[in-house]
Amino acid sequence: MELFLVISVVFVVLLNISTTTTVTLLPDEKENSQITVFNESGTQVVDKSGNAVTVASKSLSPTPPNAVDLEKIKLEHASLFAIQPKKSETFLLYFENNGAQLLTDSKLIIADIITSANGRSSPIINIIGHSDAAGSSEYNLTLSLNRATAVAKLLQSENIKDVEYRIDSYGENDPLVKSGKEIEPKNRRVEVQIW
Amino acid sequence: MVTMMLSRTILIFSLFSLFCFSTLADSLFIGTAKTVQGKVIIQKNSMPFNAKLNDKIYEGDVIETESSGNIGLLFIDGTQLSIGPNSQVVINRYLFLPKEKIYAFDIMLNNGSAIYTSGKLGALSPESIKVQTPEATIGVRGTKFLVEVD
Repeated sequence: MELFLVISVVFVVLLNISTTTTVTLLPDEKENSQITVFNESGTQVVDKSGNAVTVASKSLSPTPPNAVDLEKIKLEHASLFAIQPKKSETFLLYFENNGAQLLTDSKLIIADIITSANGRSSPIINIIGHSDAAGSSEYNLTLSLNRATAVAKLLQSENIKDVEYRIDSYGENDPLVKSGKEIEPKNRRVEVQIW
Repeated sequence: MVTMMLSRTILIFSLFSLFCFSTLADSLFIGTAKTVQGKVIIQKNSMPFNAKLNDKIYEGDVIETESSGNIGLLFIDGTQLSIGPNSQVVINRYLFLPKEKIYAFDIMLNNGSAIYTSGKLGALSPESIKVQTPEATIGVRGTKFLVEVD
């Protein structure tokens, strides 16, 4: 009698362990947004915001995309939607040739950066140096890092409250203009993200 | 006299190395808890901690929210992962090294709900991104989506 009870309890628990996955593409200003939902049984592509697919088990194919009520979903998941961190702001700064002197137009942007950071609690200022593909990658890396550091020093003197600075260089690996040309002045930038 | 000088040198050296290592360890963080609400537990090496605002996140962390818990994670590339109540997320793999073009993002949502919003990883290497659930894997291209497991 005791053994039978143990087995039936285990059986019931196993039945309740299965879950269902639902994936909904949300509106975003990025172009060509797309997700692929797949398992060993099939694949579905969702490229229209407000569409969702369901997967009942890993051995069942995902269902074709279906339009859902986004407003209803936002209400059902109110606390999740509310906990999303504030959207980041990005600023681009440009420099005189071969040095870390900001161009006049870029100097004016510094004030906007400070305003953005001061409007957030515990802001993270992420400063990224970028170069184009012309010349030696070592020179480009050093120059872009020097520029990012110069911007950080400028901002640090403004004493923004509770701020965390991050400084890095991506070299030529994150071009703004993807023309494939080696000389591309618009790519020689410092990107400042405020989180 | 000599033994005192020696032990003092050893002490200073050990403290210095400890400082160097702790700074090094901190530079390996992969994200921050940008928003936190209610009860959220982060397990680091199987040790549970109550999540606090601005806590740093590392590869291998397991994030668990209770019925009152919600948390917004911001990874160093700008990817956002917001996690709703009664959820569990495991951060399997995260690499973001643009200079070396080394990228990886692999998380598992075992239960609950989350909103993924892509950052630079989505722009530079979307094929390196995997969001997994018990039933499926989600691949992305510059996106924002809601995933629920219930």
